[in-house]
Amino acid sequence: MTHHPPAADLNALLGELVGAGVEFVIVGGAAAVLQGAPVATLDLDIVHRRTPENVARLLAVLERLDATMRYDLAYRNLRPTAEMLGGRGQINLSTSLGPLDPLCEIDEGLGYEELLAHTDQITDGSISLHVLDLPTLISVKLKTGRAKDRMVVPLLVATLQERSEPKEP
Amino acid sequence: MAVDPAEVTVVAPNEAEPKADTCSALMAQILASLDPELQQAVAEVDRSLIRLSLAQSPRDRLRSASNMMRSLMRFGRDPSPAGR
Repeated sequence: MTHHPPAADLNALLGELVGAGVEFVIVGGAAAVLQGAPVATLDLDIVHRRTPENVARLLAVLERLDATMRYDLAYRNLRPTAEMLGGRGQINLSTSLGPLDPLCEIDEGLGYEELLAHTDQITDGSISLHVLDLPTLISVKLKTGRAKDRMVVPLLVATLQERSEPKEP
Repeated sequence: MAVDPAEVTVVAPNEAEPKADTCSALMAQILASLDPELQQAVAEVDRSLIRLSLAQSPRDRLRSASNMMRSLMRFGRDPSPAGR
């Protein structure tokens, strides 16, 4: 049985993915954090581009990070495959840098290409990230109907309001 | 990895600088889509943590979130006798 950290090192995971040239959109809690919402998140949720080349790049990163299925109660150390990453499912992985969830689609069939138009590009000179924008994040959270998603909506809306406030000179 | 917040830019792909009236219309639309309970919850959110977060660079926001989760996990695993 492998021992991976229970909480994601978000900066390190993103650094690995970007460094390997993986194309992805950040969604979920990490997207909320990047957009300025003070929320807690254990994992990094991404929607990756499902071209064979990009899936191969993502798989290489996952192999390097010793990725295994997170909810395998039999502890068989099941590994993700190119077929899984190229499909339509949501994969929950445990890695040496913490939990990472590559999601092929979210919100009833939205993949990388569909979500890209609903992202903000956050750049800091050495790294450029596509992050799901707050209105779309709010919409996705509302549509799931789950209590844990509904709970975070007021914080996301308040963050959007704060960001929309005119800046003081 | 230290990041100078001044270097960080957020660029919306479709509209680099959304107009104020566009933002207001979007906010009104989002608020109208919420049920009364959620609308009330939005009004009651403490904004101080949001402002602190927005003052940080995005990478520092990630670092803060990761550190917070690691601290919470440590509390969960190693409860001190005094804290029980």
